[in-house]
Amino acid sequence: MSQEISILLLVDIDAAIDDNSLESNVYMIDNLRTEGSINECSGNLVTAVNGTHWQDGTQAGEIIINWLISTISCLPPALPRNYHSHRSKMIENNTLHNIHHLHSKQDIETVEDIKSRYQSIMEEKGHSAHVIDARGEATNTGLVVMDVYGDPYHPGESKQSDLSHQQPVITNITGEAVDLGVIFPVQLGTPVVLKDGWYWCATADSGKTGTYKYTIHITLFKLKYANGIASWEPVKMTWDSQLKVTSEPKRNGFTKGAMSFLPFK
Amino acid sequence: MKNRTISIIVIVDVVGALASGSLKDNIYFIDNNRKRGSEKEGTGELKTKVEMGDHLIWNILPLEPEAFSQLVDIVIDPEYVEKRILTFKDSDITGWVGEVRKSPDILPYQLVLKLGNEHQEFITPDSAFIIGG
Repeated sequence: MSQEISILLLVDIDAAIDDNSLESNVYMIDNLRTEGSINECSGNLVTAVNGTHWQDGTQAGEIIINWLISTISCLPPALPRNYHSHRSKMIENNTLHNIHHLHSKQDIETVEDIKSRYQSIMEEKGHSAHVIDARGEATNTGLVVMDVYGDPYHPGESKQSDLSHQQPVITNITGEAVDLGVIFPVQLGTPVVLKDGWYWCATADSGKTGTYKYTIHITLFKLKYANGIASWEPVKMTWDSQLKVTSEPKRNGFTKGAMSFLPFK
Repeated sequence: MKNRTISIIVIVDVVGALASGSLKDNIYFIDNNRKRGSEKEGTGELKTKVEMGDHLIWNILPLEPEAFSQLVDIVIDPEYVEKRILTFKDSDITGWVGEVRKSPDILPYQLVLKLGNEHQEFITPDSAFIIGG
């Protein structure tokens, strides 16, 4: 049987960063519960890779495995992909509008009033997020740090649980299954919203039956404030999972018999 | 001071639900509150631990990203949780949020979902809970 397997990873980022581990903080789920995958929506998922072969033993169907990753605490995945960027621009426009009309406010009488009101406007707009690169340098993304409601996130005022986390990313897939040539992972581009432009995918050799471990390399992002700058600092972690590869002779899905013409009259 | 927000992700196997005609075994709940007492994470029987004043926000995540899924209602006792639709600013996307008005011992609730190209309506088995204490 040809298969397209989707494996979804959900990470509780606050808990993972607190524990410095993904243990009990990652949930994996695939679309093959009824086809033999076990331990769905837990950290111990074993994904069924059900292959088929022709009479001469060669692989009969293509198997594709896709990995997606997301976090529990974030803006809804149903929002358009450019929402964060669009909303950040709207917040910035609103800030500029408020500054521009600052002098027309009726309660503004003194310079101190202006200073106070200006400070309040700047606090309302929240912080623009920076990312820390491999050299440890911070680059401004222009994206406002938001809460799960799409409003600017204010540390100290908002609770940590309100924070809309930066989506985690998969950076590599390695391990036994890759070393033994059971799966051949690559990173590909995609327009699908949840995948945020990129996703990891692999083809599988179902001739190599057995249970194989593989390691998913994941980067989480921890929000840090220093000198008035908000930065997403990468935190690298790994998680092991398993694939159970089986193979059975190719058969007719309608007749359950050998491959031949369908029994149409 | 804002109250604490607990995010609840609802993963739906849309194809599984459409094939079997039921959400049973095709829905999984996870929240970000395990460390503060939520139980049965990653199952259809999640027990989310809450305190009075907490906010809850539900997000639907289809297992197949291309499949249509929408949360259209939450059936929950308003004496304990006041639900409302939230429209995300600068968008026309809506979500469901709830405010815990009274901490229950244990309170079951159900989600009403529309799934698939024909927007078929499903209701979750009466098995996800809010717990207090």
